[in-house]
Amino acid sequence: MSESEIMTEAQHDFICRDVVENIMDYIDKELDLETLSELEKHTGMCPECRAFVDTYKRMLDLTGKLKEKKFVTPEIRNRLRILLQSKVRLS
Amino acid sequence: MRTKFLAWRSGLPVRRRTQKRCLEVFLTLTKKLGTFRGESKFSSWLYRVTANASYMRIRAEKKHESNMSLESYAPYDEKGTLLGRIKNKDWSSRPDLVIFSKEAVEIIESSINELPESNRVVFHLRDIEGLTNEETAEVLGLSVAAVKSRLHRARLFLRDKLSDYFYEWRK
Repeated sequence: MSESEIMTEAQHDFICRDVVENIMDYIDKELDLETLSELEKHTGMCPECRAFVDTYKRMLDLTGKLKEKKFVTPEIRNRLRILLQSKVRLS
Repeated sequence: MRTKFLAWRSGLPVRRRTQKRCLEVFLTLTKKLGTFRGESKFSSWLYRVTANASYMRIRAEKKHESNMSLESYAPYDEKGTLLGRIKNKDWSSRPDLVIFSKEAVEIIESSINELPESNRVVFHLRDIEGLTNEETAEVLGLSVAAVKSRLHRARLFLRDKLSDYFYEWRK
């Protein structure tokens, strides 16, 4: 493999890492336009990143089915209830 | 004796731990020998004690896993390459019937319970209750950056767990 090909592979891997680390902002479209454009261009060319993004989104779809489940202590649920009640009063 | 050994093995994902676990269960048996009242067959009592000890060991290991931090969790290696678990494991196009199957829901529920508490709480408030980052930070007394970081690691962990499940399912 030539030096330029090695550099390209390293840069490619670096952007893959960028996709992973910025996935939340990427999904929520909270990235600046330049970064968003760069990552979208990359995921169009990188099958691993495409798979990562698509499976990440499907995972969020699945967790959306767990609305009735509770994974926290009663204390946290109580604090949540207080927060929501205060928001209702303010509105 | 073989029955008891198999009871142990059924709870053990790795063969090489068997020897150590056998020693542990023998120690448990010697401690509990005085509790055998002769109301059932000795072999039944032996099986029950072995199975319980195995189960308790698994639970202790799961608790240890959930005490581990996800701070550095990532699906890529030290070179920044997405790991092999990503390749050929794009299950996103599976039909909804498969993605939202009872088994998949159980897998993700179980995986959520494996999360360290600090990540699990944030995940619950954001992705189950639907709070914003700011609201979650307010409820938990955290910074927004901390909320985002913990949620990020939790989601990566869960995505990987689901990927492992769907990959095994396809095989």
